[in-house]
Amino acid sequence: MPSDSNAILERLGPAVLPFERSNFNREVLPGEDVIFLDYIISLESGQVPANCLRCDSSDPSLLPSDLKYLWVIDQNGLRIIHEMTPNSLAARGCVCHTNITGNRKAFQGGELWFGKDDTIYVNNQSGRFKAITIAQQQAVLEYFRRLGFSVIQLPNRPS
Amino acid sequence: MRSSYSRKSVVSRQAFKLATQRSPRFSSAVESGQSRTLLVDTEVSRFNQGRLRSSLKNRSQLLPVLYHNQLVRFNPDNKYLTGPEQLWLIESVIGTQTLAKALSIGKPIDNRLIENLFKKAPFAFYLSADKAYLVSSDDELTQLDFGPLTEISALTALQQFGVTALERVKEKTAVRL
Repeated sequence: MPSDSNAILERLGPAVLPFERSNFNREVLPGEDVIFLDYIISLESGQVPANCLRCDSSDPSLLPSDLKYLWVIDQNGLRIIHEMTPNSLAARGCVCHTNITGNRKAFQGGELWFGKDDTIYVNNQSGRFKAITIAQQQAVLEYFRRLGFSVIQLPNRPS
Repeated sequence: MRSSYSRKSVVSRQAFKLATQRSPRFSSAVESGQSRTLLVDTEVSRFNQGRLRSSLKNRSQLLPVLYHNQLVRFNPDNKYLTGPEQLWLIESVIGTQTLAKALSIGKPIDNRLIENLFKKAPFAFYLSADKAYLVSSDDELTQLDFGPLTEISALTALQQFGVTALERVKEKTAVRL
């Protein structure tokens, strides 16, 4: 976690259970709480993973869904998983944010893409752990930057 | 009393095909070459009025489905789900406990049951200011991204956009309409 992590975690949080910030009062479905440990990548080193999938375009509207990662910041830090990772245990067939957290609390979640120049493009599109205030969104960007990443906020409007 | 009417003389080809597909009695008769003498006069009359075809349909249309170790009946004549394999979409939006409670009563999963679930849903959806997006919540950040939001009920959202879109909204916070 970044230096002065307590302060930034406070701005990110509080940590919430899946869907706690949304108006949906529901449980995660079978298979969505299984931790896909073999597929989860920690970004706490501040380094873009060498073998990550990267986008050619820097146009946010052209970021392809098959190169998309899901990100979560929880007590274990910033971690990602490729969204197209198959999850045969869940009806939706692919992983979701709780396959990183194991249905436990998290501060924030969203989607991200890696650019060719190591720039990271992020949004807050997670129904389970989304930001609901501008301050939380800003804190997410600060978290990425304090780890050393060059990060660009994407609009939360699906293309 | 059996009739000697040929199938052409009593029912349309389509109706006969439908009957042989849906009725074991008709199917076995066709296989044994007895189809020409299968329909009795009263049945011919009812068939021509559409009643028999209707009753055959009603008898066979509910699919028994094992869902979370519970035997439920699914009506394939369903405008919200293409098949029982999409039941998880309802569960994902409505919630496991709510769906389980509804199914435990024993009612078939049909349009009415699904609409009732969404009618009672304790949440709403929201349309963006330009009506181009459906979003899951009304908060500071969502208003920054989408402008002033218009609330619509869960039932209205279901009827207008379908359950697949609502599940997507729930999972990703927004969908483009």
